Amino acid sequence: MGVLLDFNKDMMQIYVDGRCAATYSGRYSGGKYSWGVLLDSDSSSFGGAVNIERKPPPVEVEVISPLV
Amino acid sequence: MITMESFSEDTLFNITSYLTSHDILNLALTCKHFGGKPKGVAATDVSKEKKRKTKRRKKNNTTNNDEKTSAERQWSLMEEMAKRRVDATKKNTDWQEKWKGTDVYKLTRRTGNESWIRVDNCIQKMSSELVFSRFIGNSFVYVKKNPSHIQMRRATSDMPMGNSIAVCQNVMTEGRHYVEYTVTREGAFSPGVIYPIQSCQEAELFKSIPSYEAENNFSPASWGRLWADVMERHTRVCNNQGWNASCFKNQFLFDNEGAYVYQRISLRQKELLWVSSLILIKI
Repeated sequence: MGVLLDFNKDMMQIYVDGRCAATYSGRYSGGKYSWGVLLDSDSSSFGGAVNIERKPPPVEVEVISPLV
Repeated sequence: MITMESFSEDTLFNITSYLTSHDILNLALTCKHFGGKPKGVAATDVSKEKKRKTKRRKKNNTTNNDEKTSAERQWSLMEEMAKRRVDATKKNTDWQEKWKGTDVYKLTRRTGNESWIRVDNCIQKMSSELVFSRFIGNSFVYVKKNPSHIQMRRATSDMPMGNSIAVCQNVMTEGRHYVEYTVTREGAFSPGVIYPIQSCQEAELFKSIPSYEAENNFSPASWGRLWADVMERHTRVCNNQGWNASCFKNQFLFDNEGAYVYQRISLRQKELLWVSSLILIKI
């Protein structure tokens, strides 16, 4: 899963398999953000692992279901 | 005796190549030799500087093309070192291949007065490896000591697993940034962006979020509101609806327009299944 944070366009996009799956906009400019992972307290999630890597954004921009 | 002034710019560049942009800035603040702009713009000063350099070169029997231009540059010596780092980074073919076509590839000074040290810092920040530098809660550990790869650990009776956040080290304020979260083992977690969390006090507040079991009498609507409120107030998790207002147990999300967004995110090994993605259910 890829996440694009674009301050120039004031939006965040979530990419799945190189395709844009969701767009959130209008609340990022002027803010400070960092990348993170949130975990809830459900103990059944034991063992999950995630790796983070900075990459160039995907070229294809196809909005499947924009929210805003 | 060797003094810092007797170093050629090439020697100084070799030294500064081991430093961070913050270190270069600190060096620039130590003395006029490093941080002051050359007296250079006046013609008399330039000629004096050139004479001094020529004299020194003859004395040291060295030839340095860079020194010819040092009197003509409009920025400080450390700025020049930062500029050279920027040029060297951009000439690196591996770096070019990786970042061609992106913002960081085109990054340069926006105005004539902008600091090269800042440009260098931006390039390093935007193309450096990301690491999870801060864990809030007790549920995360590194995988094989790799700070870019985290894993959830098993709860014990001594140490129950609670709500936790892993935060990367860098703070983004401008430009375009893209990362890929690769799930290497299935688990229930939400990757995304987050407000930088600095203080331990905020971490303590996060641990005080009520557990699901204690709040089972809440309807999904209450859940959404409660979670959004608690997360926003205590952890300042970003306003991404898919994150801060999520109710993971019931897989309901709450957005600011008063609608529920049903979303099931199933994280499986090496892939993310985005099942029934983002179907809006009005209440």
